[in-house]
Amino acid sequence: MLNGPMVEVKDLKVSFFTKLGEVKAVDGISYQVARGKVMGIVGESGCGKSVSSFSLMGLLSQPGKIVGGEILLDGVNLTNLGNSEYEGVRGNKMAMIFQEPMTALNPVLRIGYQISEQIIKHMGFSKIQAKNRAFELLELVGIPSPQKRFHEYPHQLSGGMKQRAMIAMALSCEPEFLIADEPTTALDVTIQAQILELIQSLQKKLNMTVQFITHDLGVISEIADDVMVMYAGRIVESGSCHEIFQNPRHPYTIGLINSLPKLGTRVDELYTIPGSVPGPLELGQGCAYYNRCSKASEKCLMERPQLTGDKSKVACFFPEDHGGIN
Amino acid sequence: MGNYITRRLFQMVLVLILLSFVCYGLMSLMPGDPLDIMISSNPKITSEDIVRLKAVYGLDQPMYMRYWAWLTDILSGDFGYSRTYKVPTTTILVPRLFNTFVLTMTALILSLMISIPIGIISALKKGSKFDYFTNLLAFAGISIPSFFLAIILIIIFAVWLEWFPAGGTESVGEASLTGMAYAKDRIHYLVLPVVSLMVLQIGTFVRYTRSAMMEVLGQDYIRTARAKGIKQNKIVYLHALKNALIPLITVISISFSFIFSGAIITETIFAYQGVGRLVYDSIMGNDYNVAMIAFIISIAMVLIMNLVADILYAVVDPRISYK
Repeated sequence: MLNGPMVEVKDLKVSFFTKLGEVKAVDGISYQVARGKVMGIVGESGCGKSVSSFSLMGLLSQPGKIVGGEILLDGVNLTNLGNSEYEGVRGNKMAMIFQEPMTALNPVLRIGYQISEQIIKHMGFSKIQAKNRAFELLELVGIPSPQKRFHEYPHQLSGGMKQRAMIAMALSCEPEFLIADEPTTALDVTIQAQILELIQSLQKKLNMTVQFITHDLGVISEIADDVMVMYAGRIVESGSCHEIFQNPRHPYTIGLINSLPKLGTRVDELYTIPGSVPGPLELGQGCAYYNRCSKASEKCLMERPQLTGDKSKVACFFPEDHGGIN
Repeated sequence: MGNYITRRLFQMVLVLILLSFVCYGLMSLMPGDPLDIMISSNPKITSEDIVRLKAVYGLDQPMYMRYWAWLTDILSGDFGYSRTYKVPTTTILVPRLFNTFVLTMTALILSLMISIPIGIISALKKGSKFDYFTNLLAFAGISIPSFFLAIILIIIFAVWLEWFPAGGTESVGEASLTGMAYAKDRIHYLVLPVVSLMVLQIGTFVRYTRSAMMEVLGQDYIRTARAKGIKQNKIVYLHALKNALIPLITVISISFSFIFSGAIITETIFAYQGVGRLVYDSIMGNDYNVAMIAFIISIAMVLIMNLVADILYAVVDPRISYK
């Protein structure tokens, strides 16, 4: 399977079974992430981008459940794995960096322990070997005096340092596939740039396949090879990063790009997409973007557009052809 | 840390002395003194005798003078005589304290051993039948009055089934019992009062453990541990439990501070020779010496367990440090 895509998601459906009924957080998404590439997933809060990543990691918690589809990691279908088999994959072949470094580290365990724990489990290292590996990792992610940091607790590290430690933890077993779920969102801007650079350089160095989730288009344009835009649990547009930014075709993508402030131009008011994301329970049978779209017609209300196209795909009946950026 | 503990111990002594003064003051506020009981039971006593006796026992002195005399005696190791039992205070108090210690400590440790695992499982299986059932039982345990439960236990296990004695501490007239036979006899008498104490404690601890665990299991770092592929058992008993212990330490150490205070209702109903009933009788009988020592021990235990809790916080949670 060495030549196929690293990750292949086929018609993944994730639902949350709440008291109000079934909430379709992810409603049939299919995509592939090629080996050694960075796939960026963009979308507003609640569009299902984090939920789809948690499904890949097998980290969905009650009442969330995968109700359909397949997730293939290097050709292996993860949805069929038992608990202990999945534990063998998580943190080993596939790892994840989370959004909130402040809360994602266990406050009562030493940094060193939290890093070496999975090295011992997945790589079968002894305690001392794991310790040395942890020193290397801390050095790799740019944490000064790793010997000292190894014995410290999370509260003794700054936010940026914590995220570096998280990255060290995620990389500890040389994962082939890394999911980064808004790894820079909780950090201030200068630290954001450092962390982003770090992930980018490590990705190249270790030739990892990365799925990078963010709502920040600026970040995506810097790091991603391919981009997919999600809206209300579905993919509305996907393609190469260049294509998406130069020639966006879905009205939602265009809206997103237009709402970015542009350097060097002064405007009185930033562009915003009118309306708000419909709740998962409010979705009808038509296009989820119907109520906010300037091009919406009766067809959009009645029928849901499918994701079509060859290299770059779009789910819209009336896609732009030449990019509608102003 | 050492500095901090020394400072706390010094504060504890001060608080102890202050509170002993308050207790002494409250005791002296009660109507009558030991002599009044003697006087009312002896019609031939003259008023000169009364004045002379009051002077002999120092009861004509103001409260703070009497307190001072008491305090200096205590500090020199003289705990005085029990007025009602006519023996040295320690002779009556020490065995009673031991009995109470055996009763409450057994109940407490068994309760913790049962309720902490149940609380953890209940939190892990939130919303399951097991969870609903334990919650129901926990609330029942917390709500049921201890005297009522004790009586029910006596009716079922002592009267109907005749498995255990209805009351007492050990078999009377069997003083020759030694070793295992003696222990077995004591345990026979302990079962019902221990169970009666445990019901309430288990209910409380299950609730606390469950809520502490549930809070922790929802935290991001638990998700991180799962993302690392760590085994579920290790996540629960290391990553989660160590965090959940922080709120539990408070509840558990407060419970431990009552091991010498006595469970007055349970001890009374089961006619158990514990310290709870003794203290009650001493207060009622103006037996200052016994009551005061029991007070001091209770206060000291609360203070000590508070310090222990504070030290344990620092042991479990690296974010807490004392200077």
